[in-house]
Amino acid sequence: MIPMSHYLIVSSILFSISLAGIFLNRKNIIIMLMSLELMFLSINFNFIIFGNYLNDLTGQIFVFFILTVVAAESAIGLAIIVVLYRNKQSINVQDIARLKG
Amino acid sequence: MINYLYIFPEIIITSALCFIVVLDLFLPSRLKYISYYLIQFSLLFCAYYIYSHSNYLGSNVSELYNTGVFSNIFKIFILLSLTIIFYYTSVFLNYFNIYKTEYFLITIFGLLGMMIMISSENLLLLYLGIELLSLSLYSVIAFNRNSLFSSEAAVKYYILGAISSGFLLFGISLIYGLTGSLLFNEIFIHIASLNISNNIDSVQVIGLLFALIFILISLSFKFGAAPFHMWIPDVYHGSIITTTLLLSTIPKIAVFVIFIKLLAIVFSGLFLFWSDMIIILSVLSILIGNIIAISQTNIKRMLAYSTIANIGFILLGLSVGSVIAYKAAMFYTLTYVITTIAVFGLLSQLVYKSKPVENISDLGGLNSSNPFLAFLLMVILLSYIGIPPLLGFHAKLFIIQSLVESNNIPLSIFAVLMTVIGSFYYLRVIKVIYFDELKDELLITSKLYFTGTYVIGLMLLGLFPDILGQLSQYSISNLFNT
Repeated sequence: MIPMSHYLIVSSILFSISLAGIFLNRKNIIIMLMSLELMFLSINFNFIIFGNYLNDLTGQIFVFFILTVVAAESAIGLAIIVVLYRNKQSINVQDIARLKG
Repeated sequence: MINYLYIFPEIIITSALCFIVVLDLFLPSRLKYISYYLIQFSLLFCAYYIYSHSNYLGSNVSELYNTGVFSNIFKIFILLSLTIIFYYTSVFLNYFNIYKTEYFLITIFGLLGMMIMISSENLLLLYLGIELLSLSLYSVIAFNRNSLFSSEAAVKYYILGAISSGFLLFGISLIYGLTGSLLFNEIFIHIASLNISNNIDSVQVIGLLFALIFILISLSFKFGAAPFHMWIPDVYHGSIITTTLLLSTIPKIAVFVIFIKLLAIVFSGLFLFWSDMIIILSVLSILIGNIIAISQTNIKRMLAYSTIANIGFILLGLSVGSVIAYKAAMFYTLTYVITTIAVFGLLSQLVYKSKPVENISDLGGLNSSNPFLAFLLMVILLSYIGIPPLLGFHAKLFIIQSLVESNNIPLSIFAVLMTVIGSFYYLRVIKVIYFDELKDELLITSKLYFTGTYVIGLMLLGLFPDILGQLSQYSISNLFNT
C-alpha cells in the first residue's frame, strides 16, 4: 500500500513543472497551453486521491467538471491564438510586447 | 424536494439569452436594435423580479445556493449597472460601426457567472461561476479582432487567468482533502472545531493555511490587487473602452462578494493569519497603484492604476475584520463601481480624430468647447480624489474611520498620505481640461442627457451618503445573521 503523501508529492511536482513550464517558456504560446493542461491534470490527480482517501464521490465528480471546463477554456484559448496569429503572423512569446508602459 | 423557483432570476436570464441568440440570427441588420432592447428589458425585468420577490427568495434554506438579502442586493446592483454599461456600449459600437449583438450575449454569460458566484455556498459552484465569468471575459476582450492590441491583451489575460484558476483549484482540492467537504457551512464548522490557537503547528492548520494562500492568490488576481496586478494596465489599455468599462466594474463586485464570504465567514477562524496577508496586499496595491499612475500618459492606463489603488482601499477595509469595516468596504466597492461607470461611460462618448480618446492630452481645453462636459468630468474626478461633498469622500472616510477604531493608526496615516499622492494625477487631468489649449478635433458621440443625469445622481448620492450607507449596513448585517 502506497501512503497518500506519495501521491500528493507526485501531484505537487506535476503542478510545479507546469508552473515552471509557463514562466520559463520563451518560445511558443502553444507550449504554454500544454503546460496549463498539465496543471489542471495535476489538480485532477489531487482531487481523485482525496476522493479515494475520504471515500467520497464529490472529489471525483469535481474532476469531471474540471475536465469539461478546461476543454472549453482551451478551445477559447486556441481561438484567441488564431486571432493573434492573423494580426501578427507569429505566436512567439517574445513578440507579445506591444503593450508596455 | 428541490424548488427551482428560487433560481428563477437565473432562469429568466438564461432563457432570455437562449431566445435572443436564436432570434438575432433571423433579424435583418436594420432590425438588430430589437435584440438590444430585448436584452435590456430582460435585465431590468430580472432586477424587478428579484426586488419584488425578495421575501420569497429569502426563505430559501438550501445549503448550496444562497438567495438571501445579501445576494439579492448585489444581484440587483449588478443588473442595473449592466444596463447602464450596455447603454454606453451600444452607443459606442454603433458610432464606430462594429455593432454585434454577440458582444452583449457573451457579456450576459458573464453576468450569469457572476450571479452564480454571488449566490454560491459551495466551492464547486464558486469555481463554475468564476470560470463562466472569465471565459466570457476572454472572448469579450478579443472582440475587436482586427486590432493587434486587443488580441495581445486577450492572450495575456487568458494565460494569467488560466494560471489563477489553476491556483484556485489547487487550493480547493487541498481544502476538500483536509475538511472532506465543499460546502461553505461544513468547512466553517470544521475550522471552528480545530481550536486553532492551541495547535498552530498541526498538519491540519498548516494545510488549511496553504490552501488559503492559494485561494487568496487567485482571488486577488481576479480582483487586481498589487503583486498580481500585471494584467490590469495591459488589458485595460488593449481592449476597447467599453470592454474596459465592463472589466473594471461588475466583476469587481462579484469578486468582492466572494472575498467577504470566504474571509469573513468561511475562514473567519483563520482571521489571525489572513488579516496580515490582506494588509500586505492592500498596502502594496495602494503604493503601486498611486505611484505608477503618476507617470502615465494614456488615460485608460492611468485609470487602470487608479483601479489598483482603489482595490487596495477595499482590501484595507476587509483587513480590519469588524462588521463596521466590512460595511465600509462594501460602501467603498459600491462607490468605486458607480464612479467608474461614470468616468469610463463619459470617456467612451468622446472621439478624438475619429478614434476613441486614448491620451490625457487629447482632452486638452475641453472646457472651452464643451463646458458642461468638462464640469461633469471634473465632478467625477473630484469624487475619485475624495473631495468632501462628493461620494468618494464618504467612502474613504468610512474606511479610515474603521481603521482608526481598530487602533491601526499607522495604516490610517498611510491611507491618508496615499490619498494626497493619488489626488495629483486626477488633478492633472482637471488641469488639462481647464487650462490647456483647445483641441478642436474632440467630438461627442451622443447627447449628454443620460450622463448628465447620472452624474447629478452621483452628486445627490454624495449629499445623502445615508442611502448607500443604509444599504450596506442592511446587507452586511443580513450576511452575518444567516
